[in-house]
Amino acid sequence: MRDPRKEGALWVDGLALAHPTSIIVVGVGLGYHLFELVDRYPGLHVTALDGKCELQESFPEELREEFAKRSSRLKAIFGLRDVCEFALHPTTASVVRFRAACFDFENEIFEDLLGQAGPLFGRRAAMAGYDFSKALAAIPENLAVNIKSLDPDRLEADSREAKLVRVLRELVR
Amino acid sequence: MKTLVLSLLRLGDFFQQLPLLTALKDSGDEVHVLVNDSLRPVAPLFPEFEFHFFPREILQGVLTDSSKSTLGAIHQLRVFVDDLNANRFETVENWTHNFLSARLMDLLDAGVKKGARFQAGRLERDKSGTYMNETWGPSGAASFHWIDALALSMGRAFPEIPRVDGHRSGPVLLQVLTSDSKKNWRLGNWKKLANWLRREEEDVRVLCAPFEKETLIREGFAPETLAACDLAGLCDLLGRAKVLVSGDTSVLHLASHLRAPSLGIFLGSADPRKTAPRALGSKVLWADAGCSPCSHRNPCSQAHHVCGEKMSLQTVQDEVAHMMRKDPQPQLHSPAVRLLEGTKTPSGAFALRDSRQDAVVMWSQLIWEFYLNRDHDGAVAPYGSAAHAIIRGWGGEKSLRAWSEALKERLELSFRLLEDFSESLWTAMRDFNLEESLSTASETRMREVSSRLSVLWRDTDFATRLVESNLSSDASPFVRLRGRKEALQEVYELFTVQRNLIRVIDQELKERSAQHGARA
Repeated sequence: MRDPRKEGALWVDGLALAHPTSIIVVGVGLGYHLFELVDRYPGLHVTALDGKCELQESFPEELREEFAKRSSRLKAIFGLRDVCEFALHPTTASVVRFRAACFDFENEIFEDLLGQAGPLFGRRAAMAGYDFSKALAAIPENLAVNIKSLDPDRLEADSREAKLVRVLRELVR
Repeated sequence: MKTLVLSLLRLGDFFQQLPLLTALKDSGDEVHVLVNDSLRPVAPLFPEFEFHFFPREILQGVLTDSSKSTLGAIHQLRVFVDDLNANRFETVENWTHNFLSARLMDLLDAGVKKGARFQAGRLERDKSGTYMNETWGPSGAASFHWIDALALSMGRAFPEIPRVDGHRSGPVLLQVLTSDSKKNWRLGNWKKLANWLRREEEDVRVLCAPFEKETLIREGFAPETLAACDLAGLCDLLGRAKVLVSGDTSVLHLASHLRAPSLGIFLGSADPRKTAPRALGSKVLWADAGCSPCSHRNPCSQAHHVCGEKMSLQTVQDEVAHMMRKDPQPQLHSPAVRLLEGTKTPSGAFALRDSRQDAVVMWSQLIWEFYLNRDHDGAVAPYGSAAHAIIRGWGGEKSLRAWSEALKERLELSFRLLEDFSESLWTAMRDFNLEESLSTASETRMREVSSRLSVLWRDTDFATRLVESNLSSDASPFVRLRGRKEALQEVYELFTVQRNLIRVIDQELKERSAQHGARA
């Protein structure tokens, strides 16, 4: 039997945050991981993003109350359009992704915002109604990673990711 | 066949590649070209090709801005590649030959891939690709024009060479600035040339980019002569031009495509053997300052612009007058300036006509074609027909015999030097096996030998790879040794091809002499 509170706590343990002040969490799930974050770090402000509007609508009353109790330091944004709107504003907050193992679904917003299948990139930017180059310019610096410090040899040798990183490294050589 | 060509270089390089792209199109391929996003303005001028634009500047902007996410660049590149692969190309050819393009090839899907490419982490290059990178690139005496070398490396026939249209009565165009100050002829000379042309009642236009206009006005050029136009406007002017006089720029190469008669002024790092305007009847004035051509990457190494100073106004003026009015060919005022004219060899490659070098160029090209074409399925001319081509194109059996004797002596000496090099190389490899370091004596000897070979073959590029292999700065001694071994193998084969061909030529000449004797 799964215990979502325990899973949330374990997830926060795994983050190993050091003196965080502001964090963006992609994936709301049932919210227990968010409550754990806010409770464990008294000064921390958390913004949670989730592309699924229906999630918010399906919250039981007790969960809504848990959110409300922490509303001064916990904010949740639902729906792709609102998430994209949020993402257009530069931020220096760290971004982490929550995978809701108990419900076994992928939260695609992390990938959508920051990598693999981004609605803010390429054709999907046009579909979302945003200007591509503006969206690209506004993507937050959420990982202190310079392309030169990404070592493609640490990725699987023939993986797509390794090949992509190698091309990009040539651009800044 | 749906073919994608990677042409991730500059505007002038794309213009030079047009004959090869056209040949591809004429062979029935649906031709797609991947260019940098900065070349977008070019696309409407060539609707026969399908263009794709590599977002180089956007990606570089993201990667070098610390407020932007690196993951954004990774994702954007992924989407770009997915979109490109959705075209389902049957063949992808890399005409760029640098590490960026080779890495990009690894991401592209196609049944056939040609040119430099990474595969499973290793750089794959066939013999022709190796020639491009390790001989042609560093060579100071290239045997082929870039486009012909590229055609060879792709296993394609040399593309057609357009002939300049010498019957035009349009403006005389001057392209006075290049992308590199060491390639520029003094602006004062250009002004005087423009003024002289106006006195000759010619319609003179000084070409420039819009951002260059103010600079040229400050330098004293008459504003009414300045033509700051976009690409479409430039094409219109070049399509009507009586003559274009230009430094080594993209405008010169566009002029070749549009068959405008051109006179290139090649200074600094500009090397006409590699990048002359590729048209029959195009002309180049090349100043030889001993240090020419110099390195692209470094500034001029001299205290003053020696090659530019040797290019006198009178020399340029006389040649322009000859081209415009069909005056008799003038004598060159400066012995340090060579006048070269675009022509075609019997095998269809481009060459610059200069009586000092014609025969050497023809020979070098033939030898390289022999050596490189073994990689491809196309027919390789047997030694017999190659010998006939040489005898036909030489201009006299007596001079061919004399040259053949001199070449045989040179080859004999070269083979002895190669044995010497080989011995030193094996010693070095043995020492490396035993001690994991290279012996200084072997290294020194190999450098001496390759230096001697370089002098012996200074008018060709046969020894370039061997010389370059001694200059490698690769950290691994093993890699350096392997490079020398491969270079030694190549130069040995090149000399062997020459020896075999000379034997057939000698035999043919003997038989002809015997036949003449019998008839007498």
